[in-house]
Amino acid sequence: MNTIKVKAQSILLLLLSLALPKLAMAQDANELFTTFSPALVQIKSINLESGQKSSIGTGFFITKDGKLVTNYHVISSYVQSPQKYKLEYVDDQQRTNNVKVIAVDVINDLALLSSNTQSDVFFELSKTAPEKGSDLFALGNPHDLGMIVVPGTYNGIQLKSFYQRIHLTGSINPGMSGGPTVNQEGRVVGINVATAGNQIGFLVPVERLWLLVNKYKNVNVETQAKEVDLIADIREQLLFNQTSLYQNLLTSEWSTSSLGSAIVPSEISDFMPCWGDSNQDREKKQYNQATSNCQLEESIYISDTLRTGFAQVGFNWIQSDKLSAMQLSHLYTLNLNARYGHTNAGFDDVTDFQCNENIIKNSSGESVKGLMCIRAYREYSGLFDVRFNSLLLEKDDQTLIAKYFLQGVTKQTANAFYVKFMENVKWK
Amino acid sequence: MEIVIELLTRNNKVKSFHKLSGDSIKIGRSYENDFVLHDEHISPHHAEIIQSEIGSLVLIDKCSVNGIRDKKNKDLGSQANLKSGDVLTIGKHLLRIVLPHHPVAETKKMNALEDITNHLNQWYLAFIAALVFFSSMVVKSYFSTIGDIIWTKVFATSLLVTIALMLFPLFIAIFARVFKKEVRFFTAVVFSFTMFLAWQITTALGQVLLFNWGDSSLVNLGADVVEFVMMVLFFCGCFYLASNMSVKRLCIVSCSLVISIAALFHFSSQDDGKVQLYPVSYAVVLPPAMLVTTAISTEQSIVNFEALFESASRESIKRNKEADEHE
Repeated sequence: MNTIKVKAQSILLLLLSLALPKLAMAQDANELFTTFSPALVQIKSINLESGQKSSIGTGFFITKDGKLVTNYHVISSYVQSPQKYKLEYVDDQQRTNNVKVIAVDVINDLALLSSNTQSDVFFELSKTAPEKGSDLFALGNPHDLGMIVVPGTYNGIQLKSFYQRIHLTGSINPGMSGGPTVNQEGRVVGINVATAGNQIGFLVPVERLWLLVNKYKNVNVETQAKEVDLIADIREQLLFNQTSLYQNLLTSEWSTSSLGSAIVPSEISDFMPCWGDSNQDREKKQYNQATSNCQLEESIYISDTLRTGFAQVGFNWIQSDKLSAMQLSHLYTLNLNARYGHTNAGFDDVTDFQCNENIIKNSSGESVKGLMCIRAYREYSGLFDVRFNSLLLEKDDQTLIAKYFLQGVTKQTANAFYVKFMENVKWK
Repeated sequence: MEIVIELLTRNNKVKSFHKLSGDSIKIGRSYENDFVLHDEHISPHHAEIIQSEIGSLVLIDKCSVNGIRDKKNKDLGSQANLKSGDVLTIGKHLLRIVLPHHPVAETKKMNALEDITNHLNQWYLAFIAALVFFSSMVVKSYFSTIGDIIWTKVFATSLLVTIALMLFPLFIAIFARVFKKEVRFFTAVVFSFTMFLAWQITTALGQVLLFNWGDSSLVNLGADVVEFVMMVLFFCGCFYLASNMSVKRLCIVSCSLVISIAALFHFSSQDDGKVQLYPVSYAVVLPPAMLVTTAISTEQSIVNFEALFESASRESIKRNKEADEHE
């Protein structure tokens, strides 16, 4: 009897001890929310013609003089066509106010806004990165349902990613974009940016925001805001980003692996994972086929229709003892011209593809049929999308089809990549 | 007196030919006449041709119901003078009255083309042509099969195409009949299938060019020229077999027809200037043995790419300018 009582007591204690941190956390979240809700606003992009909102997101004050931060993708429609939209925010008292865009960082999806209001309550940016496993609170207005707070756990910087993002185990939903995620002291450690489904959220690390804030600290809102050419600035950012993205890729030695009787590049970079497949188990097959496809999983959001910074490399080895040379050629032709990758651009963003065909000698002296297609970006001159489809000739019973699609690269990058590619695709 | 009466068709072709002699030539529906015409619009004793004292021919209307008209449909009245070669309408018949010494056109030398055309009008030649074309279709579909080949399907499809294309010679024959040209159906079959084969061969040659030199402007220009010549030849042949046009006229009509068809195709396939989001270029691959061009170096190909970057940049500037003007 006694032992049961003791056991019950200990279980109760255990339960209490388990429940206590949760309670404390809830307390914190509640406190945080009530303290900072005046500094949280909803950002709306309003279409002037229809008078209706076209996109919404969350924003937050970071200074007393009314500077706000949100995601670039929340306000991109305004940046792309300022004559069609206006931006405003709605605060916790349901007051609306106009805002201006001072600076954007498209690579990290950040935007710095200004309003001519004073905000006594504002968020401070954290100067240190949180510890892995520490509790964080994401704030925002998901699906226009009202401001909420979501507790989550910091899980470090996302691996295998070129664009650094914090992995937060917690729900981030559409509409919370641009909201802050704070630590227990209420300092901003990241900005809500994306979700990958259940309980997997991504944040832009606050260091990126520091860089943007410091860069534009000296911009005088009244006199210069109008003169900032955001599009030209975005172009600079894209140019700089593609240089740093491809710099490592082009200087490092590419690791290769064999695909059938050919040698092809394998994971040429940590952030370009490869996936493969083959038709080994197909019934009644006339030919053997093995494929490998490596791609950069992330891209940069520019507008509703345009994403860039995407890269994809694919290989397709085909061999057959059954098909005749002419039948094989037909099969190669179909595979070589098959659509590859996404388009990622709208009709008004880019030009048509300009193509030419060549028979080229690769570094091992083997003949390659290459179809190079290039299109230019209309707003961002000097940047191109490059598609290269090639076919390794020489062998009668087999071929290797090698393709790549690079988005938003300069001529220099495109040519350097091409040279490197031709060096690394060959017969064994 | 001796005269010749030619029965003409509406197109002035001679349908039949009758040499008659006597003091007078009587024409009518009655069997008593020298020249009997079965036509309910012709009176039993309709007309008579006599020779006058001075030697000229005189036509007498013997009070017929419907009279006699000349070439221009003018009533000739009860009596009229005739010249050799005059055309008359009696009832619904066209008659030409000619004297035996009437001059005839110069003798034409036998046309080599006509000679060939006639020699080709053999059923076995037509059969061989169709068979060769059918075989080419079988080979073509065999080459483009990459899965399990179903021979009955290949044969049936090729046969269907061959039968469908048989409509061309059939049309030629029908038109030849309409235009009163000698109907040479087998020649039409031989000609059509030879042209279709030639078309296939030039297409195959074009593929070799595309494989070696790609979708370049020179290859495209060559293809356009060959296409034009082939089409003109085809139409010339069709018209030659189906109508009586002179060679000069054949060429003019065929050329203008091909040009108008090409123009129609060009205008109907105009795009609205909307950007194509995927490349429209199509690279052709053939077995490595068919590679005759020498491969260029990687550096050389980069020099070639320069033009692509330039033209893409130019297009972007052009499109931006157009968009600005539009606004």
